[in-house]
Amino acid sequence: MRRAFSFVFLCFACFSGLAISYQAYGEDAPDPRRWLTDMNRAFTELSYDGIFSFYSGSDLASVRIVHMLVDGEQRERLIHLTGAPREFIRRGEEVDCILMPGDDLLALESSIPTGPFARAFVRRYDNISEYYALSFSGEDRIAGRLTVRLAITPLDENRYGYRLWLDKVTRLLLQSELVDHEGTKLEIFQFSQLKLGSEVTPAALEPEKLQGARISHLSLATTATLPVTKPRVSWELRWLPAGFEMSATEVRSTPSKLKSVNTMMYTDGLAAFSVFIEDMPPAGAASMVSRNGATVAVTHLTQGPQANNFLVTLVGELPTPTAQRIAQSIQFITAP
Amino acid sequence: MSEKLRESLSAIVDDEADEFELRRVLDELEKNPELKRSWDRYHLIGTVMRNEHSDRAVALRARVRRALDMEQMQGVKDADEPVVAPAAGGEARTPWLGRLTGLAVAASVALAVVLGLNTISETPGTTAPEVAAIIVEGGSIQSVGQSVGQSVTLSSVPQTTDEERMAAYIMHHTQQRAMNQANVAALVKWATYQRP
Repeated sequence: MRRAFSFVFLCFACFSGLAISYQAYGEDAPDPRRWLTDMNRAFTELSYDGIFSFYSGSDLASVRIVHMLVDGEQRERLIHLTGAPREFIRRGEEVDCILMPGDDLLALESSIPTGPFARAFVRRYDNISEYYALSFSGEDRIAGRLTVRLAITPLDENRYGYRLWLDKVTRLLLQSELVDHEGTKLEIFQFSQLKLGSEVTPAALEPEKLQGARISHLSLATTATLPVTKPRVSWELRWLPAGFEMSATEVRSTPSKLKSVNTMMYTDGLAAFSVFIEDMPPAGAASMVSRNGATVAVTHLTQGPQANNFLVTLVGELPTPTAQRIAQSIQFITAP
Repeated sequence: MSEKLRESLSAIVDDEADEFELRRVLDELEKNPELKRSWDRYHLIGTVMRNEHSDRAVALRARVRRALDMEQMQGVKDADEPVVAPAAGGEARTPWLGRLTGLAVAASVALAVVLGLNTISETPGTTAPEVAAIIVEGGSIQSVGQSVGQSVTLSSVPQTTDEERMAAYIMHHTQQRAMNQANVAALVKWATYQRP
């Protein structure tokens, strides 16, 4: 439960996959990769207080984010303005998650098995430009500010593309779109209002008192000491789109301890998908293709040891045919 | 699929169809791609589970029709005459047809396809699974093989448990993605998660 919220505060930093070492490039060159690195830094170092919308599939949510560096410590507050009231308060490595009873996040988190999610190895994404083309594509105005548009275009049909709008002055990400090959927008993130620098006050970091809320505390420091050894994996994918590599894997028990779920996560640096493999539930399972925005989930029936049936569920930000092809390529590795 | 056709197919499965009905279904199979798909799907399910070649269903359909045609020819000639090679069509009659009527062949084929799900999946020592193959509008199979202890195939109609499981995995993925490879979209997606 606690761990679940940690990544919320892995800062707005991110697109870490694109945080490519830029020293190799000239400081003056208008290199898109340099802008991406700056974008990451802007998210962690700047003070900002804004409201953004996030659209995914059929859902549209509105969130206020307040971020400051106070005495060198990251302070952050995320407040849901739509749907169930939620607040995430971060002070350095310490995080409070304020949720109302019955929140989907609580319900779902308790419904899935818990356990350490070991990072098999930390991948460097230096070769991201082998699978995506990065290019500037003009200027635009977002949240009343001038931005530079950056396109991240996939070089094959097995992944989606991104369009980023970066603040021309601060290089903060003000808008992003995740697009498919026809250019359909599957996810949209957009600031509608933004205050920067001295306009942001520490008082805005204080949580609102929510009647009847549950507060869950977590420490980010504990998540940094996850084991880095690669557990033995009994399953393999016979087909993977170029550039995808396993980034994490685990075997966890269900709450009932009656069975285990194998989980593998793969990424090409930007796109990612997870594969869950479990014993076929006694009541059976359905063949499903579920899509919401950029996220697709598919199920597949496969055979494991002793010709037992296993249920494969693949979830990822991938085109449906790619997801299905990967799921169908799952194979049990027989012991040597 | 029309109510009449559904009844006919059901009758074939129950071995209660008359020849007229069987012919009508076979004719309809040629005209109606949707019905043809569900016919083929029944066979496909069976053949896939037997690891047999998947185009067998198509071949079976042709054989059933041939058997019917031959029967008709014989009926005109002499019903009691021993079975001989067909006068037209150019294909030798396969021994497995024997003296069975085309109707019986067709019925047994349809029956085997549906019940085959059952018998094929049945393994010694396990409870025989209950098999239900229900034809619904659109020609899809509503539910197949809710077995005890062993599921033989994935149902095409998601239950609440399927949706719960998928929602949990989607959430888990979103969460882990942000942890392992934090990016703005993943982060925001998780923080704004609403159950569909």
